[in-house]
Amino acid sequence: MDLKRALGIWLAVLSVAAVVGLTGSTLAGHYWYCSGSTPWHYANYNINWYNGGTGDYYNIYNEEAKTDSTAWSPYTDIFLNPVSASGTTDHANAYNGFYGSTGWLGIAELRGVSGCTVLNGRARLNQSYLDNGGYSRTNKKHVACQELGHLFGLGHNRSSTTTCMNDTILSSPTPNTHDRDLINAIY
Amino acid sequence: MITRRTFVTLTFVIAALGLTGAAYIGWEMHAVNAMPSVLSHAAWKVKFEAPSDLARGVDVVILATAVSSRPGRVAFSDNGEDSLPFEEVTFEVARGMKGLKAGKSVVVERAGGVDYEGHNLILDGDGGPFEIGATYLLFLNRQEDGPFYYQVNDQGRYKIEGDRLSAVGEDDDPVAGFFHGRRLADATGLIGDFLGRKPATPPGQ
Repeated sequence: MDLKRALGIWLAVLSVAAVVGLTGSTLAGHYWYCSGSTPWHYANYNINWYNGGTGDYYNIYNEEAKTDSTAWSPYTDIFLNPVSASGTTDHANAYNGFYGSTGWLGIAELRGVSGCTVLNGRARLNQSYLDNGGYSRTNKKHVACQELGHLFGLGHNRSSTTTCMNDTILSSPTPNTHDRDLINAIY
Repeated sequence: MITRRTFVTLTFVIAALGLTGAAYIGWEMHAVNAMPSVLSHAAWKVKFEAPSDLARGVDVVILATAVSSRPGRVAFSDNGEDSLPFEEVTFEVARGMKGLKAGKSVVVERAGGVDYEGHNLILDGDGGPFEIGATYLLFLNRQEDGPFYYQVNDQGRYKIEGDRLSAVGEDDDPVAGFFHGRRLADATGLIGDFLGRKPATPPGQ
């Protein structure tokens, strides 16, 4: 092969590789970052799980955390250890309530941290909106799934419509393989 | 002339270099842009795909200065264990573009403050506590169940820094990205266009 033709092919290969590499790095950037490229994370994969939900919200949280086939606990390397009371060390605590006209359907908070390690995460679902008749059970599950995903270290992901971490849709109440890979890379 | 073996080998090397180099650059760029130490994330009731949708989809668009903040109500979870405090921030409207006129006061309620357990709860998914004395471009809705207004979402707040807007939303947000870094005069002009009229001028001008 002559050198001129080879150089042309190499330039094309380099361009394609650069595009693929940039795309890949963008897709990987769906963590909830603490500092620089370090995401928030619990101390280890074993997290105390307190479900403070009431009524069907208890079931929804439980399905998204533990019992659905793609629930965070069996689907990823995280192990959620059910506990009977909320706590402040290695705990993920989940609630629902009528929080009023706040603009948000759900919220995830890191209440206690040490460096980038989460000690106490809290998820809330806002019944003031979710119970007003405009939201299906699937929508509620999507929000619950997303808030839990935040607590475990993930940010929003608008690149995919197959994940609950997409905050522009409410119809995909499950993490996807990309979320699982991100979580498993942390824990 | 080069041999087929050399060509194939070098092609793989170049592809690998391109992939790893680009991935590294992308990762570093993201890390630099990532917002540090954010402690809350919200699933908003509504997210807008375009700045024109935001301007048309809210009750109020104002340029306003935060003048005071006070503790507000405390909400509890349905099981009574979890408390969520709110604060009420009063703004003086410097320029009304939709829903309110210049010179009026408006109270914006947001989650945050001292909770029932005595913790100072700083929620920053909406941009965090307002800075008293600072001026913001705000996109607000009226509360359905209360007397105040609320920031529509994380696309609905832009702090005025110099003569430019500073967004609180995420890097890849099309609306926050549109306004972030834009000159205030440009932004208000565009909002006027989105709303089909010129923005109101402040008093005395």
